[in-house]
Amino acid sequence: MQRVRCPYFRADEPTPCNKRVPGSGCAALHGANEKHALFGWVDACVAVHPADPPVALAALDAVYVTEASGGGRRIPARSFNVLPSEDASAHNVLRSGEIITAIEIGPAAKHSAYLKIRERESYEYATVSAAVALDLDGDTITRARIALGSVAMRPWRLEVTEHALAGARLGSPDIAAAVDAGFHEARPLSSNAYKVTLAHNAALRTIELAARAS
Amino acid sequence: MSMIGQSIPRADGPIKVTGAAHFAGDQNLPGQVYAVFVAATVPAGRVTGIDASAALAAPGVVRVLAAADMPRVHADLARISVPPLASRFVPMQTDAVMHEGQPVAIVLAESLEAAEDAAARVQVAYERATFIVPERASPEQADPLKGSYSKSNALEFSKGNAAAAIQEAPVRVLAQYTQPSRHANPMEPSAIVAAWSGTRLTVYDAVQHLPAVQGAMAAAFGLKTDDVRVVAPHTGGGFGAKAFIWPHEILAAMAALVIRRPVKLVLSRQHMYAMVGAQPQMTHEMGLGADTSGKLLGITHHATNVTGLTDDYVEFGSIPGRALYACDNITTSQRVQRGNMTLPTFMRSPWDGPGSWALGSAMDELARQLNIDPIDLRLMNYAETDPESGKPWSSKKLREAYEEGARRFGWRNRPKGGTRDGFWRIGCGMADCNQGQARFHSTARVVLKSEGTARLESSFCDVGTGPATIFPMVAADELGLEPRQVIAVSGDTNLPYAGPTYGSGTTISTGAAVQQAAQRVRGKLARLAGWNPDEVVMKNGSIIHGNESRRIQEVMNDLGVSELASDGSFDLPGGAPVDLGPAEHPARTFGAIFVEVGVDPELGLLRLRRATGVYSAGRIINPMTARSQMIGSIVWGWGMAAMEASLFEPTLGRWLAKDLAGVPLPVQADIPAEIDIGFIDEFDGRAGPLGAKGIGEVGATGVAAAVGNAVYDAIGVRFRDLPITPDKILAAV
Repeated sequence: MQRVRCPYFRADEPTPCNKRVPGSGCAALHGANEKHALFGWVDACVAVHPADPPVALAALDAVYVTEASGGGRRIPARSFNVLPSEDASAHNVLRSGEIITAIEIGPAAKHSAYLKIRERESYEYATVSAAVALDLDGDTITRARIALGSVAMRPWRLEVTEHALAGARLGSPDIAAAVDAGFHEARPLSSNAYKVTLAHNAALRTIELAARAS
Repeated sequence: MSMIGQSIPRADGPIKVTGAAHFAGDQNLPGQVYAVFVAATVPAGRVTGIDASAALAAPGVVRVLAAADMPRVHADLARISVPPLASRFVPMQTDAVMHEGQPVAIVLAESLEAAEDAAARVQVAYERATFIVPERASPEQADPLKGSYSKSNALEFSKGNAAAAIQEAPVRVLAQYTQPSRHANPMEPSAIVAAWSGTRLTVYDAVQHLPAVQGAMAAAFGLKTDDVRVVAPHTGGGFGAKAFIWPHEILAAMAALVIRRPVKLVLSRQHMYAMVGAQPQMTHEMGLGADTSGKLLGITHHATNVTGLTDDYVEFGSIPGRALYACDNITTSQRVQRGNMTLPTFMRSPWDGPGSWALGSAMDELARQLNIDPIDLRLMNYAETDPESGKPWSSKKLREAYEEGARRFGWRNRPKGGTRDGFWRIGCGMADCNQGQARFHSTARVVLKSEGTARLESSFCDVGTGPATIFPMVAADELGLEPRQVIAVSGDTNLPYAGPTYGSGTTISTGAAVQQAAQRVRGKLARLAGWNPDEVVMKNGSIIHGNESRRIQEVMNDLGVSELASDGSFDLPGGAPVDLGPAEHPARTFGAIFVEVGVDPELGLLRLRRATGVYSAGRIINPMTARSQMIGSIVWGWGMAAMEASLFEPTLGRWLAKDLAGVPLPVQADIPAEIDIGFIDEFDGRAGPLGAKGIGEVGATGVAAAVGNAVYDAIGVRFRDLPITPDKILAAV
């Protein structure tokens, strides 16, 4: 249950952070937000969820199975984390006393890849990550599932791109156009416009890697 | 066979890796209490009230000290200069808050856990004042009344008319280079255990110079120097952060005095960020002018660094501009930007490290404009004598280092810049390494024992750099022993005075004192044997005179002598405690660093593929520990180039991320196996009798410039702001 890595959230002494002290504001909104969100943020919180496994699980449409004293439930991996528009102080939808007992993943995604970008080679959260699973008919994409990490408070499925990729031929200009389309709704902050380029390029690169995977 | 030049593993290696080595924080004294600071949460203002009731009610809490509870420092402290006192400002003497993170209260408890828990329960009320963000302050001249940092080198230097020469030069580079503040982050945080016995104070401390702590503590409490004992058998890395006496050391001893129990204080990683200094953020305005052949006509380097409000710390980044290249017209200057921050400090590699980033980058820009190889540009402007003073060097074999480095790296037939390897674009770059040579007064005692072993005594501290390994080699070399037959006793002010372990000055200084002491012992043994001390040599446990040879044991036992002891010293002209090399022969260390990087421009990634460093640094005592030093230096330089930055958050007036998660440092996976180190054979007898110079810092200079130059080679983009991170690469391509 990885929590956010926002340095304001993590500071030794409380700084304005609605995740840490609800109602205290968000120092990152106009502060040091180089590593922060492109999608799904609101003024109250611009943090990203930085973990790797949830990104791959969201791309694979995995389901978290929980148990709790009042009965368990099934939570789609892609909506496990709470967007700040719903609750800026929340991290995920787990309730007190509820635990995850199983993760259900569909059939193996033969053409899939995961790419993690970070300024150092190891032992670091992703600046941006991308998980891609492709269904291919020859060199034509029949279905694409793409989740990006560290760009929003939850693994971010590029749904517009996914739809646009259906029917696209590998190596055609349609691929880049489809990825472009997925970023129309990206809203960079004051210091993270580079992440739009980075996430775009990461998605494109990971599609290429997934297509080659077997 | 000489012991000097042998590759010998670190003597303290086994106890370090098995946890048997005791560091300051490992000391436990009967009756000790644990201290945890309450740190200021505002960057400027004053403390108006402290409510410790909740903390005092918590189990195990002994006392909460506020400024009013603390003794005042003794007037003698005014006699201790800044440095070695890190800062004139001692917190908790008044209610003043000069920077975020300074101590405002001290919780003392029976356990560390209780003290940490209680510290979080202390409520501090502040009257806030407007704070100054240092990097937004206007650059100003250093104030001579604000400490002695500004007096340790030239604030202004000028020869000829550099500005005019550059203006008229057919080829020019005029550029600004910047770099962020960086914290040292030694593995062992600063720590101290302070215990009083009457009016005598003993501290177990994490330091880089024991006698300086002894002197400052004595002054702070109005004691005689001998009434303070400092013990530091091991220090877990310093990199400058433990070079000087920081307020927490004085406050811990004060707390022990107040409570009349030993006090143990280990700074948390977070507290390290604001309670000891960091390398300051810098701006370099560079100018180079050359004729069309590449001959330098003018050099200007105007450097500015951030500093605190209480003292002027000056980071002399302008030094390489007046030390590296032959040029008739050179102008340099230094200014400071003052704000509400912890006073910056020396950090590996001070002065020349920041300066070489700017100059090494500008030289590459000039070489590119001229379309000549950067080595050829350097050879064309090779400084046969010191450009600043005009005097001959103590020793310099940089030309040989260029040649050897280029040969080992394959520089002259390197891959063309931008060559592809999958998604990576390959680039190569090189730069000069150089560092001034500090020297420190030092003494040592060598005791030869009748069983044919020796003991070496000196108060030096081993911060992990290897003096406890190489000084026995120096003594063994003079006494004809194996290094393992010489036991080094160090890290205690009850031992003979040693200079510090910083400024790349340990080997040249204390090593010379050890050498002299061992030579004197050898002389005593010769006289015991009835021989002229000048006519003997010692080897394999024997003393030899002409054709005669006698075992050490035999000579000493025959006369019933169990020990022969001699003192040795390394004395500086005028009895100075420190200088920057001999006045008539400027002493520096030199080198050339070559790197190959990979850049993935689509993903903004920069990775080190291989590096070669070759150094002209005097006689190398132990090639194994020396090589390790240089590899570590290159890694240090890679961090500076590619990732390290401590952000001073301008709206909050504090370091934003005070931990190792928020400030990336290189990890093992970042470092390629192929780091090739070479040393040019050299004996610098003018800098010191040992022939050696310092190697702790020179290897970390030039690396950032070489990396920036390699990135340019790879993708054709010049980065003038460190570190070179994905955001900058993506924004540029």
